[in-house]
Amino acid sequence: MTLDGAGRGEPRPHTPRIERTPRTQGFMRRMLPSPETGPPQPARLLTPLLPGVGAKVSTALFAAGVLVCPIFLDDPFWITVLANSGSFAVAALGLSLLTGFAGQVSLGHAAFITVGSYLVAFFGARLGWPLPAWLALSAVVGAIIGALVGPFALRFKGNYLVVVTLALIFVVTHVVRNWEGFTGGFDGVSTNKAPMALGSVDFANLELFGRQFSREQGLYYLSWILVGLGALLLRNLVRSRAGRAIQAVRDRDLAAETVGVNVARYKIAAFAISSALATVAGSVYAVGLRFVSPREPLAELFLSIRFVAIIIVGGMGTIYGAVVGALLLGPLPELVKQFVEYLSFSIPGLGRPLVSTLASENPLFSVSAFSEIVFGLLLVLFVVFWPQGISGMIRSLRGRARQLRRLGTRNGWARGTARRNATPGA
Amino acid sequence: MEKFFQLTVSGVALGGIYALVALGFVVVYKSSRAFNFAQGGFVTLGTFLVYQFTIDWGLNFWVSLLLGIVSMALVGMFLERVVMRQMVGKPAFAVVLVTLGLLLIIEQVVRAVWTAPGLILTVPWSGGNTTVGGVTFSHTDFWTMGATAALLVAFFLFFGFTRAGLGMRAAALDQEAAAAQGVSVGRAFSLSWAIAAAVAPVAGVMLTSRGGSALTANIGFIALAAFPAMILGGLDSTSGAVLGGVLVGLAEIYTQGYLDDVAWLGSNFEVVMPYVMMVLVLLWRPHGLLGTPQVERA
Amino acid sequence: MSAPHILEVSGVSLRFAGVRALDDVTFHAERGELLALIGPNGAGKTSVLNCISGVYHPREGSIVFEGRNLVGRRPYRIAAGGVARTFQNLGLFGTLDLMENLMLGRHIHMRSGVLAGSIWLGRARREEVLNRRRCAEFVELLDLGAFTGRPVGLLPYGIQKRIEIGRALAAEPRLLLLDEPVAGMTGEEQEQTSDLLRRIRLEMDLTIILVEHHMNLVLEVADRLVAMNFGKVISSGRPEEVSVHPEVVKAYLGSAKSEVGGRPVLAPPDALEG
Repeated sequence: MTLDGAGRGEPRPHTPRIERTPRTQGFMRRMLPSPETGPPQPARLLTPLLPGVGAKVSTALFAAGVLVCPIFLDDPFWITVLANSGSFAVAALGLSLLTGFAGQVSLGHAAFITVGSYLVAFFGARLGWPLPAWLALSAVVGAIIGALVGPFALRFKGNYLVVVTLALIFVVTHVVRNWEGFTGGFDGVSTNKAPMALGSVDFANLELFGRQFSREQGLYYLSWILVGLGALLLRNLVRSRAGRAIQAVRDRDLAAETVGVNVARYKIAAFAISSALATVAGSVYAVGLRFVSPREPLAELFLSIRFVAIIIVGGMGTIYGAVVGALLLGPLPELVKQFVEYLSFSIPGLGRPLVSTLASENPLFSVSAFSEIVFGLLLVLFVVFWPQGISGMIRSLRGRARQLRRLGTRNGWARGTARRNATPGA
Repeated sequence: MEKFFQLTVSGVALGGIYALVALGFVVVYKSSRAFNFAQGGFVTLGTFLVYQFTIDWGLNFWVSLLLGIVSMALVGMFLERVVMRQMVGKPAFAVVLVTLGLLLIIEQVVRAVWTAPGLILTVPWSGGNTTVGGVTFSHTDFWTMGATAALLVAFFLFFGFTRAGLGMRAAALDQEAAAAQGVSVGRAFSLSWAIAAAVAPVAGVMLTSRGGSALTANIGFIALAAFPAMILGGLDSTSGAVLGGVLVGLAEIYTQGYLDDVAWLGSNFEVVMPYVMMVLVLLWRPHGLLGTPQVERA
Repeated sequence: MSAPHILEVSGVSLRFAGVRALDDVTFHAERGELLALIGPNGAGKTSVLNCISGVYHPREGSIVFEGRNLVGRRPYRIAAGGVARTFQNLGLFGTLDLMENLMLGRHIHMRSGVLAGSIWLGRARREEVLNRRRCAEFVELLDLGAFTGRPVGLLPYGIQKRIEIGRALAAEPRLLLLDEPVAGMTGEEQEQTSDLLRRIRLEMDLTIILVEHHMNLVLEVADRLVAMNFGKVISSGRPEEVSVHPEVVKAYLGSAKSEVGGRPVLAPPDALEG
């Protein structure tokens, strides 16, 4: 991130000079600045929760939208789609912390979704643990497994770590298939009976604003409450001491260690929090699906890649990016399924429809295969062209549009040259 | 004891296939520092292409294999030129993500194009056993070992003695210096991707013949075991890839063969075994058995 | 009876794959002084700093700071014990802004952990306010007010160098290790840095070890010099003695020698790139 050497030798007029006479005599002795000197520019003593009016307004609008959405939308299909997006957002928040803020790549994220799914199936649906208990259990178990992966991240970096996290998928898949008493083996297991009541609030039978809500709507609220909670906790974390330390490790681990950051502790913490979020998300997601069955390791890998695509498209290193990405990409398979008639046109010369829900039509892609292709394409496109995610894409497209407009006005060439002469080098 | 010999031969044969896939990896990694997840997809695509040529179009098997190799080399060059060239100088992490995206696309395209279940890819050597001193060896294993050995020798000869191979090594060591010596770094990148993709159908065909010739899109999954092989040997070491491949192959076959004795590990533990072994070896040698220790930034 | 030295480096040897990087290095620093380590490229100056800050673990010898041996301790523990440092080629956290970098300097003075930070009430918040105030003072001292709110990796090189010194100062260390603080700086920036060093020493109670090529700066600010070559200490003492020591002169003649403004400029400004 250092600047290139160009211009380093020239004096920079905007560089303020250090005053020759000390302005703040004995400044080391005081804890608080005296009123007459006062801190100069950075008067802000806390990083705000939401920087800027724009962020505050848009977050408030978004939250309000999430809150009232089920009132106007009672179609069970769409509510379930949005509830699942919420679960994806929770898991994506976890990956965002791990990859975006801590700089650790993981392909094992899907493994935690799986762990969460089976935890709720066993402890929630089978043993009847109440909602707060199975949520807490998921968080704790996820954190513990994540913390166990953490030490490997200390030993291995970069590409080595990527493959080591891949091992997690294989181990979890293997356990799921073999520990039949807990997971139901290949037959899978139902999550339908998992209790969904938090005290007197039963999400399966929710009454709000004098209205009766369905199980799907209740699940929607539950998952989006978790999104809000997760986003708040993460935002607080990254603006606090521990979160800064996590980011310092990402930027320059050696330097971080020499300013007193215990690199091991913060890497492990990042893994633990990230995994806890993913496991909780997996539990809620599984309740929405009503049923869990084992996935192939390759499918787990694809699911992990999907989470990576979500945070890349949403924008890495931002909290809102995980939520936006999950909203855009999370429901993709369902969207493809819903609008399949627009995609089921027959491909000329092949006589097969592009996508279809019916295997008998011999489509080129099944719904899930088509969505996975889209995930892959989006991942490649965004990493290559808009590594800053959707906001970066909008910015760059806007810039392109502006250029085009400028080209359009260039017809009056005098104006164009005038501008060019006015701003040399621009 | 006979069982042990049998398993050893089988393990070395399987390991040779992993070594081939891992070599493809290492070649790309060495020339451009790109960690190529799409290699697993290359194996799947390459194998199905060979199927297409020989079974669907009825061409001679060897011609089909050659066609498969050539077309995969073109696919590799195309992807390098169109996609990976954009990633030169980008963080390693971004490069990994792009190859992951490519893996996703390739795997699904293969599943889309060749949908019919129960495809069979017969190879000239399939079936047949030879018994020597009470130990039965399958011909597939011999073919596999022979082909792998020949390819490995070709590999080392190419990198050790040909102009293009030496140029690629130079580009891997120091791009600027290599460019100053008249080596086209771009061409070296292209060539490395071409080679990596070209070995894929060979590995895939051999994997298929081991599995009783039934062709499934899960070959890509089997090829995932080449990741631990490569990591185990050391990311940037060609001989490490071979060593890692053989070790992983042996570990997998022994686990499979003796799993009854360690039933508590659960069925199909051999799938997990390469990864377990990789993690254990890495804990002992963080840069693999033959890899160069270096500080890597994600 | 003399008071014990704040830092006592004795018999430190360091090897890399058979190459001797440091060979029986022995010197000390007195409380409150500015000690400069000089010597040609590859003499082992930075290795000494790395040993003190725990980045390298010397095989032999001891490094005693305020009565405790630092050898074998992890860098973050050494930092918590009151040792701060800068890096030759910048050790800033490039994507974080100025305030966040300074606050990381104060990491060791804060307590709140992951959970407290996530909940962001009570102590975590109070601590944040107090320490931000403190950092704001350093922003003022270093005159960096114009550079807040942007990722520091995007700022000019000289400014980044100054921010890194600021981050080390924000830790309020008792021992400050500066590794070539003016390398790659313009003349004006170098002057500012030597002014800064003087002011720091006026206002803060700390001991500084400075590794530097620019003899101008060294002779201006250092109380004592330790000259090194080939991993060994060849001379130490007052600047006027060390700079004329025959072995030191010989070591430098090996690289370059010129005269600027009547002062010997022993080493050329290094062509260091960040």
